[in-house]
Amino acid sequence: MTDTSMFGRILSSNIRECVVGYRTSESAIPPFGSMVRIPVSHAQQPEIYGLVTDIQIEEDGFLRQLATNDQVSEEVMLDARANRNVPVVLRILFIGYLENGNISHLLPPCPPLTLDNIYKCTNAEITAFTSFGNFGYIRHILKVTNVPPGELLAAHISQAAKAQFADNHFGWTERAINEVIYLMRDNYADLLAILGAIGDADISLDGEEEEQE
Amino acid sequence: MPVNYLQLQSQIHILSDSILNQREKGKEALEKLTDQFKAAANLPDLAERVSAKLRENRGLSCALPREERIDSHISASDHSGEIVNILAADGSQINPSRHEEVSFGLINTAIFKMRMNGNEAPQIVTETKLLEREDDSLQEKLNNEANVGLFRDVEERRLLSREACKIPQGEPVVALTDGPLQLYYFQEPNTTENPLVNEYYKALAEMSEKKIITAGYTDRPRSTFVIDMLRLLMNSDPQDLRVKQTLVFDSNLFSRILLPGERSALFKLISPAVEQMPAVVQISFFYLNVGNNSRPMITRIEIPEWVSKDPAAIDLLHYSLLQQNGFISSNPYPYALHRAHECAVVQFSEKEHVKQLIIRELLSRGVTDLGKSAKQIAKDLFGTTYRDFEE
Repeated sequence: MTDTSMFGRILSSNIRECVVGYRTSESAIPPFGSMVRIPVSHAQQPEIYGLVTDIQIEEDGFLRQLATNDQVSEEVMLDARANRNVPVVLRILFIGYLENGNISHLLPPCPPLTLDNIYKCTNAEITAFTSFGNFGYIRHILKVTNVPPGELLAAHISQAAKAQFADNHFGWTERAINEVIYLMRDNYADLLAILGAIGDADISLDGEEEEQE
Repeated sequence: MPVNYLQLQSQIHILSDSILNQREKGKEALEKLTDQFKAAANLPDLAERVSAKLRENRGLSCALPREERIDSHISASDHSGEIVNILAADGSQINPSRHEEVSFGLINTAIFKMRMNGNEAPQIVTETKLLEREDDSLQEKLNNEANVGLFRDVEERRLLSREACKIPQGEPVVALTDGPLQLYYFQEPNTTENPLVNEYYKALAEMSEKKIITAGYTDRPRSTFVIDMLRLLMNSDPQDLRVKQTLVFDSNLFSRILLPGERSALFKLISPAVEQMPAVVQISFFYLNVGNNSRPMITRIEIPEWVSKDPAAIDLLHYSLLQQNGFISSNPYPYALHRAHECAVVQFSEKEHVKQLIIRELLSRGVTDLGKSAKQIAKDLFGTTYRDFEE
C-alpha cells in the first residue's frame, strides 16, 4: 500500500478506537484490516496507528428510494458518491503509536481529537510498525469485539506480509502466526477459528520460503 | 398536555364527516365536468369563444386553449442517449425576527446541474446572501416574511439564469424551478415599479435569448384554470364565476384523461397578474401524469412564451421530466429539484451558527446590548424545561 492520501476525519474517539467519516470523493475506501495512521497535530502528542475494523455505508430515506428503482442512471450514481453526504463511516482499532521516533504497541496515551485527519499507511510505515518488538500489538486485535478477530487478523497479516516481503523481511508471517498460536494456546476453539481464517487469506508464505532458499 | 385531545375527539369525527361529504360532492361535480370538458373539446373555435367570454368578464383567471385539442393526451418522444443539461434551482431563507439578539435575513440559493448522458458527476453551486439593511425601505420590507420570500424567488431565478447561460450553445438546457413560474410572493399590482420584479423579468429574458427550456414544476396542483374555463363557457352569471369552487381541481379532471407519462394539451394562463408580464415571459402550462396505472399523479408544468412556441422544446422538457421523476419512481418528483432543495435548505443549527458569527462581530466592535426579547427568553426556557421533563 503506497497511497498516503488523507481519506477522512475523526468523528468520535476513545482510548481504544475511533470512528471516521470517510470522504467518498477523495479515494478508494481503505479496505478492512488495513493499517492507518492519525498524525495528531498538537504538540507533545503521539502519532496513532490503527486498523480498519468496520466499514459502514449508511443510508438515508432518499437513497432507499433510489435503490428501489430498476435502473439508476450513471449521473445519479456519480452524484450520490461525489456530491451527496453519503454517510460512509469507518471504525478504527488503535494498535499502538509513535512518539519521539519510538514505536509503542501500547494503547495511545490520549485519543485523537474530532476532525483530526486520518491517512492510509505506506509500506514503510507498516513494515516499521509490525517489525518492532515482539508482536505486542496483536493482543489488541485478538480482543476486538465488533468483528471476528480471526477475520481481522487474516486481513492484517495479508497486508503486512506483502509489505514485509516487499521490504525483503522474510519469515515475518511465520513469526506472526507463531505469536498468535502462543497467545491463544489456552483457547483451542478460538485458535482454530483464527488459523482457519488465516488459512483462507492470501498470504505468500511459500514465496517467502522460496526467497529464503 | 398542550393539546386537549378529549375536545378533539368529537371534532375529528365532525371533520371526517365533512371531508367525506365534500368527496361525494366532488365525485358528482367531476362527472359533470368531465362531460362538459369532452363537449367543449368538440366545440369549433373554442379559443375564440373563451377569449370572447373573457372580454365580457374582465379580471378572471382561467386557461385559454392554444393550438392542440384540449382533450389531447400526448406521449413524449424518446430522447434517451441525448446530451441534455438539467438545471434546478431552489432557495431557503431565514426570516428576520425582532425577538432574537440580532435581527437578520438570509437567503441561501442552490443550483443543481446534471448533464444527462455525459457520464459526469453533477455540479452544485450555492450562494448565500445576508440581506443588507442600509436601505430604510428595504429594512421595512424585511420585516415582512413575504418580502424575504420574494427576494428568495428572484435570487433563485437570477442564479438559475446565470448558470444556465454559462452552458455552451448547442447543448439543450432544461432549467427547472419548484412551483409556478409566477412570483408566488408578489402581490403588488404594478409590476414595473418593483426593482426585484424587473430583475426577475431580466433573468427570464436572458434565458429566452439563449432558448433555455425554462419550466416551473408544481407537484399536487390545486389549480382550477381549466375548470374555470369550462365554467366560463357554460355559466353566464358573472357573480358566480368569481366565487372559487374547491370541490374539484384540474388534476382530478386530468387524472381521468392522461395515461401514465402523458401530458395534456398546452393552455395559456390568463390572469390579471400574467397580463401585466412582458409578452416573452407570459405563461402557458400543461398537466403531466407522472404516476402509474394504479395511481395517477398529476403535476402542472408552467412554461414561458418562448418555450410554448417550440414543440421540440416542449417534447424534450416532457421527456426530461419523466426521466427525472423516474429516478425516484416510488415517489415521483424531479431528481434535480429534490437535490437543489437538499443543497439549499438552511438547517436550524446553521441559522444559529450564522447568528453567533454576527453577534461575535458586533461584540468585537463594542456592541454590548444584545439580547433576546423577554418573550423569546421565556419560550426558550419553557422549551428547555419541557425537553428536560421528556428526557
